[in-house]
Amino acid sequence: MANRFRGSTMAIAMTSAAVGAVISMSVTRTTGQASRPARTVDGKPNFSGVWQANNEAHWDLQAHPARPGAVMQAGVYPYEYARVPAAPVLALGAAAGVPGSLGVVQGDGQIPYKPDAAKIKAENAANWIDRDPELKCYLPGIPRATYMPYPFQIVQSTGKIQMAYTFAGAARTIHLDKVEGPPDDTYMGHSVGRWEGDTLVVDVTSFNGKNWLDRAGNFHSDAVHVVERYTPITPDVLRYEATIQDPNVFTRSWQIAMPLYRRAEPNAQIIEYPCIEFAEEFLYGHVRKQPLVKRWEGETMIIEITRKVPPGDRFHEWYRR
Amino acid sequence: MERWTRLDAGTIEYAVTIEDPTTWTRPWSVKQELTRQDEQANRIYDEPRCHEGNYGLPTMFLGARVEERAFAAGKGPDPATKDTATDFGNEGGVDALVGGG
Repeated sequence: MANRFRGSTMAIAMTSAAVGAVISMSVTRTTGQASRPARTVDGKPNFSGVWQANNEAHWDLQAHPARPGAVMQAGVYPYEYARVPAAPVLALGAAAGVPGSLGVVQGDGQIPYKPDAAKIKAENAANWIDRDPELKCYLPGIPRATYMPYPFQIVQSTGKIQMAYTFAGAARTIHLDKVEGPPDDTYMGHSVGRWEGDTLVVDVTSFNGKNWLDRAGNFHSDAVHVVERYTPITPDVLRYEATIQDPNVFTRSWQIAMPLYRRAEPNAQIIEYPCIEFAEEFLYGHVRKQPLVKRWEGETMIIEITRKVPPGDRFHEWYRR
Repeated sequence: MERWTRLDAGTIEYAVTIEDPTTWTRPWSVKQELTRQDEQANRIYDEPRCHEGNYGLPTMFLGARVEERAFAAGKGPDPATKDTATDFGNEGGVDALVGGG
């Protein structure tokens, strides 16, 4: 594995250095995963390969301004705009902010929550760290898995289409052929697909209702029915649409849409993100014999941060004089 | 080294040879026949994951912490000396703390 990486990195470096960016791009297109035929043997658009969303939907499906921290707390002044990043992310400085977005919700850009559900959404947002299943490395569900900031791989056959996601090793099979209903509700749901011309339409049902839709607290119940549509724009770009219907939570069905891009690197592949291990301290740190996080109030971790002023920082050198 | 061989329409022979000179004196092999499942039966969606809803792990940790506290308060045995393999008795531990045992 390590050798293979080293080899391909060197190949890219040599190509770029020797012949320049334009030619290396054409090499990518003829030798990389984009070289596969645009259609499969049965005449369908060929979606096989590694894809990724390139947007801010994983932070918030709706339009939002850039925020200084993924987790905020009250600042010195009691105004909303005066809130400052909270301790868990403060130490990361400008790397812990949230990029702004025009949103991916179609129509008026609003998610049509019922009044009670709108309250839950607001509570979810206020308790993001405690509640978001992503932070716990739980299976992300559909559509969230599609636009998380990780690549995913489509393996397309005539009767089944397999989608393998980087995050949490999540996967699902889309059944184009006849299949019985699932034995139980699940995180990733039950996907039944069909072709409408060049569009792959996928009905996803049988969710257990424990998924969120983004890091902003948007959620659905186990009654949700997701209809996805994958339509090719070019061989390397497709339009992804998901219609979300859930009478427990929303007053009407609503839709998100975004492009998905083929990862054009010749050696593109998904690499495991074993976040169960990554989240162990987060999930179980409060029952450790010698906790790494020193203060716990029940299951809530209280994080105090220490940041050393870098000795070479000119401003601080000047300030000390 | 894995070898996947289709024996007939419903059977795959899976043969794997495992080699690691730092651990074993010679390569060794395992062979297993895999039988094709009914594709309509849809067993694939059982999602047999042990992470989501893993209440067992934190509860075991918590039990250990409770036993430590019981020992420190003189109400239970030293957890370090506890026979966890064969002794499923009720003395000490959680029972001591909640007034049972």
